[in-house]
Amino acid sequence: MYMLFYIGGIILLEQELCQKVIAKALETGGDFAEIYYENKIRQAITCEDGKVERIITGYDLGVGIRIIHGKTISYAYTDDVSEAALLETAIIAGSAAKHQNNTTIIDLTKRKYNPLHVIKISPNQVDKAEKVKWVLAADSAARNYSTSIKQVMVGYNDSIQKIQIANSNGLFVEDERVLSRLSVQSIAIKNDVMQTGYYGPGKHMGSELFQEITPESIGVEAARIAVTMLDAKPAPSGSLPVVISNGFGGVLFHEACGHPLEADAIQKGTSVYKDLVGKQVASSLLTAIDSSIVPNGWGSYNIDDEGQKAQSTVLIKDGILQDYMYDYKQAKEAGRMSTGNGRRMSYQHMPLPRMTNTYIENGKSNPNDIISSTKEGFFAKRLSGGQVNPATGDFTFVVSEGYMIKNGKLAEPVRGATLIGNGPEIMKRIDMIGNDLELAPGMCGKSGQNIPAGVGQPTLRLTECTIGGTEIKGGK
Amino acid sequence: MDKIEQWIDYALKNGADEAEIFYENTLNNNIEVYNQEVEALTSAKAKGMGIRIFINKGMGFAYTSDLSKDSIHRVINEAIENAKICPPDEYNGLPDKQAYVEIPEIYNEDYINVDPKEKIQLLLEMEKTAKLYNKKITKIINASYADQITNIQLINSKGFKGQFSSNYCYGGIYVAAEKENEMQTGGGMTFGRHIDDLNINEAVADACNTAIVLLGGQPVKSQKAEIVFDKKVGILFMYVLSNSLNAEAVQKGRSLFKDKLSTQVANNNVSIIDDGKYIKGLATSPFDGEGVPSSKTQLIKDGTLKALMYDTYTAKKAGVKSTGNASRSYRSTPSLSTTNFYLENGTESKDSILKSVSDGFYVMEVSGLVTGGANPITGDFSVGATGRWIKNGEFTTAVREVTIAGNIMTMLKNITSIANDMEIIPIIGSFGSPTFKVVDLAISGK
Repeated sequence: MYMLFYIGGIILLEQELCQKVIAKALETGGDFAEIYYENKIRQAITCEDGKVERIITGYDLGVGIRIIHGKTISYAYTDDVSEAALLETAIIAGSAAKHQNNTTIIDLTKRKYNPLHVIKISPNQVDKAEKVKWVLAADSAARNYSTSIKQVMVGYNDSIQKIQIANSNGLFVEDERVLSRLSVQSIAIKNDVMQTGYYGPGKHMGSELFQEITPESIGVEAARIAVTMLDAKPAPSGSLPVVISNGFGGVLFHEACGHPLEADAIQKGTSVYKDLVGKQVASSLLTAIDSSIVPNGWGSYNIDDEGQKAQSTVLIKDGILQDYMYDYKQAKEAGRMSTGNGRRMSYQHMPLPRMTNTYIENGKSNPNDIISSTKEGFFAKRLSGGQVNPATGDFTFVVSEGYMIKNGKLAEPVRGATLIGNGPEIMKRIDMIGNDLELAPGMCGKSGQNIPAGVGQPTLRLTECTIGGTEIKGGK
Repeated sequence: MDKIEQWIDYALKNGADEAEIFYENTLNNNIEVYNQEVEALTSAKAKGMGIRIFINKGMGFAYTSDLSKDSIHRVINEAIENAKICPPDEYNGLPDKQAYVEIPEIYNEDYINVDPKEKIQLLLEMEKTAKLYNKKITKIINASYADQITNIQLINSKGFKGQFSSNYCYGGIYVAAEKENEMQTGGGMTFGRHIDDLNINEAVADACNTAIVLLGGQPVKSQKAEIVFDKKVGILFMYVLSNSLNAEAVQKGRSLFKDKLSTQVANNNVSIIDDGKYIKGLATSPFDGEGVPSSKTQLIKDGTLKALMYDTYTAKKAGVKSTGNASRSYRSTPSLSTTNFYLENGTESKDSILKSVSDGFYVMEVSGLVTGGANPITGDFSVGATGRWIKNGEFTTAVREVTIAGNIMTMLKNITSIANDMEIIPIIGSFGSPTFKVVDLAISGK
């Protein structure tokens, strides 16, 4: 009989039990078996209309068992972590493999990694009433910013995720990830015009995040955007030089270039970057990185969801494609090491090659010079999201805060603008990159799995990009 | 059920004024094939419990997937603690007990006996059919099969006790067509309550035809033109509208339909319905996430705004009855949401609508509409669009890299024709739309 035991109040699986379950999983002849155990506690608070609406505590506990047999992966999960249930789940996962009696002796060795991301104040050490105060502080800061602010929505989230991974290669590791985030959406109304503003910083960090970035400042920023956009004119349509501000602007690279650089897209031949390693794929000014070791980065960790150590990977250097992002399976098929990009949403999901914190490196230009050297153009201060076809690289991004640039100066704000184009094409049109790199948090969705991913870039300029607006500029 | 009742008693004894337990048990399978081999196979049993507590009109919630006795005690206590620090709200509380009518059609009892091999076989056949469909189809990016059997139990301290089972299965395919260094993609899907309901040939044809006809697309010049929306795009507009047609959005002042009840908000031919009892829909259930019986709500009738969707909270606030639109999983509190939401059929055929266009754009895909491209408050939208140009009622060239922009409220008034081909397409929830035509939208291209 194997028992569960506690470390710091969190249940983990015993080594011998893991060995037994892996052996059972391989009994019918798989090449590789893995146990992924997850125990997550999360807390969420929402506030709208100045009222705290929901206070939620969630406990997610479960185990996913993965077997790779040739090119086939089979996956089964359970939220019952008793020995009997785990062995049964292992049999279900193994049933996809061809029958042959296989006895595997698994020798697990516990490996320990030094934590790369310092957590000073664990969210579960903070009183819920304190968290409610932060939410209300963000709410009133946004409301007090301007009388035009008519509605404010605040969302607070923290989670402590403990994972443990054991596999038939002898790996036996664990990690703890702590995420904190506070986001504010505000609505400003003046005359008949309504505008929204959103700001939601988050990090792989404990509650000290809200000393670094105060709840009040988050509320103020969300309100500022909404109020600024009240006076915005409808965006023009057409093609113009476009300057994209640092920070969340990096979502463009993430969507349009990052996804096609994930190894599963390469393997299936659906990526525009297939067979282009060593080739010029972007402006020679551009260097792009994916790194899960950014200290306390939103998409950071110590090990990935397959137990591979976190690392920093240069994707593009001086415009030349260097490497793709791999998980264990894709790496094995390509005959190489994983880049530590195997990630999953929860124990209910199998890992896929995914981005962590993906950003464009600092360039040499001063961000002010980028604007002042642009005679006529468009400044995308904030992008609010977008969509891209991974096969073609065609993208659409929404500009939530945008300005016209006239004679090297920021001019009037414009609303309703979208940037459209083709990712790989756009990367060739970068002609200036600033030195003000900033990272921002986002939630990335792929194959039905949503995971935290950091995006980032310095201020940069595209020689030309199509802007879709609500105002038609007389057709050429 | 008796076992669940003891936790209600436990909560009441420990300080809850009202308590509710939502128990969910699901069986899931997911299969993916690639190049005629099974690439991934997932199967799972999952269950969990969500506990909602009201104390002094404050609401607290906690959930767990760990159903051991200790864990359930911990979760109830956590929910009680959350309720105590939640400020009071006079409209908080459980609905009064109401009887519900079972909907046996949503559960096919035979489905559980379908051999997994049969599912794999169907999927392999779907991939093969797509691969052989046309020589321009060069890649099958994804071929997947998924199914789910769910059992829900809901029980609360006001005496409601309900349970139901439902199931669905689904086949989807995503393909790429290539010509001269250009790649275009297309998707198709089929779903039902039994594997025999699935029509893989239709799904494959839909996916392949989309990818093929989009090859060679070019931007058109910026202009205002008539636009015909494919059903798959129509449902995305329904999704955007649904966010405004609920009472929460109206009460919080972020609805396009604020103060518009009983007024003309759309062209006469437009009727929009939310129907929690629609048999063909995937969001059909006998009662909602709070134990209120599901209902059919006529939101817009012949262009006039008739009603909104309500859950218990918003209904109490407005002094009306809940429409049974509280949706949830065990991991979440009930929230006001659509069930099966659709634009009602018109009278014309799709063909006659296309024929009526002398110079216009048939939009087959839009990007960005549900990811921020439509402002839910102002109704302004600007989205990337792909499709085909129509000249004198006939398709001409493929169109890509253009945006279409306008205001969704203006667009509702400019819907001039609606086809009779409504279908629920469960891509983002259970939304349905027929093909429809809109006049006077802005296209920006080159």
